[in-house]
Amino acid sequence: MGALARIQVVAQDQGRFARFYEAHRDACLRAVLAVVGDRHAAEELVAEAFAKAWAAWRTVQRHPAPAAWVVRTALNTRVSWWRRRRREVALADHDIAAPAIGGTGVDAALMAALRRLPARQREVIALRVFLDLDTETTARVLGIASGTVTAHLARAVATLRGQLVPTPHQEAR
Amino acid sequence: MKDTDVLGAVRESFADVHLMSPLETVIAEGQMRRRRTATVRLSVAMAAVAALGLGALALTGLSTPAVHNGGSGPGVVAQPHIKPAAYTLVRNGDGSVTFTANDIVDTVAATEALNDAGITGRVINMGGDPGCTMTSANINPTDTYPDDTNTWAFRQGESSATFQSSDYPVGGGLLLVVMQFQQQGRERPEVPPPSMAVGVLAFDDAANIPTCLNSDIEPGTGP
Repeated sequence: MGALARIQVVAQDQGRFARFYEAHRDACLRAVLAVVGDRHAAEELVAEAFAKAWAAWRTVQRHPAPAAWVVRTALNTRVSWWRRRRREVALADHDIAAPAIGGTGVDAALMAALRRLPARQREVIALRVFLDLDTETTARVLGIASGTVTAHLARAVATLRGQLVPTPHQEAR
Repeated sequence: MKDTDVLGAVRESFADVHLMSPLETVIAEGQMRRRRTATVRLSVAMAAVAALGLGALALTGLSTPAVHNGGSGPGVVAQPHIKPAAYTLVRNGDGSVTFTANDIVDTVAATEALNDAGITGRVINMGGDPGCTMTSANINPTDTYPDDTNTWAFRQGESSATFQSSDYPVGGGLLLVVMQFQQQGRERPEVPPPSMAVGVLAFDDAANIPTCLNSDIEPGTGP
């Protein structure tokens, strides 16, 4: 391939990546924030994941759900950080300190309720709500069965409903 | 309140959350990663050569069962090098899977077992196909996850690897490479069996997982 043709291909790739970034940047950040609960960490993770996406754009653009790739990469990067931190710092009671809830730009009560959900339920919520993934795709992204996704979602919704919104039963008391 | 209302409320609560990182910064970081991984690719190839030569270790012949004949006496058939079920695969309580190689493996059966355990990917023996032209240096770092091939390592004596489906992105998978080390020149029957190592490398796209792999150096040519 000649130099000019190569430049044109790179420019086309960059254009596609730019459109992908603009279309999904906020959704990816919201999904990751919903899982990690720390705004600063979420922004760093998502920006890094998008950089990885651009570095591997040839592969990522062929992905069935590129935004899910970014979110999964961001969350896996967080796991790497966590593992590194676990090796470097011996904490007595907790593997990692709970992230600060304040300053996320999200209602504190809702964020606290999300933080109380098990990690897998938070991931299901994040992918279904912010990336609009269907059950099958969510299952593939998380490497679990579709039925498990449905069960996690149902439990998460039931928990959130109970914690955030007064139910008719509670109002009647 | 319906389920959709609850999920809608969650969605709306995040409406003011926006990623502020400029596109130019992300692209610049991505370009830097590309350059870094290209450099890493070269250094990994060199490191692999060094590691394989450590302690005067050499790869044993893996491709075909050896048959020896004593000459004057009756023929002696050596133990075949390839034995089915030369591995164990355990599903752990936390969802991870531990693969342990005790010998070079029946790759078809091992791959099936891996896939049955919920892990997309492939098990191969290093050097299992002498005609294979793929080496670790040929693996494109942008095909791997994360995008650098220095995330894997063979260490003599580490014959187990633990991994899980979240170690690779959707559509991706793992390459498990079983490798056999044997001390150079030791071929007498009283010598303990060679030690095994298992290397794991994640790929963005399962279609890009190599079907075979050969070492970067000729067996026995280490320092």
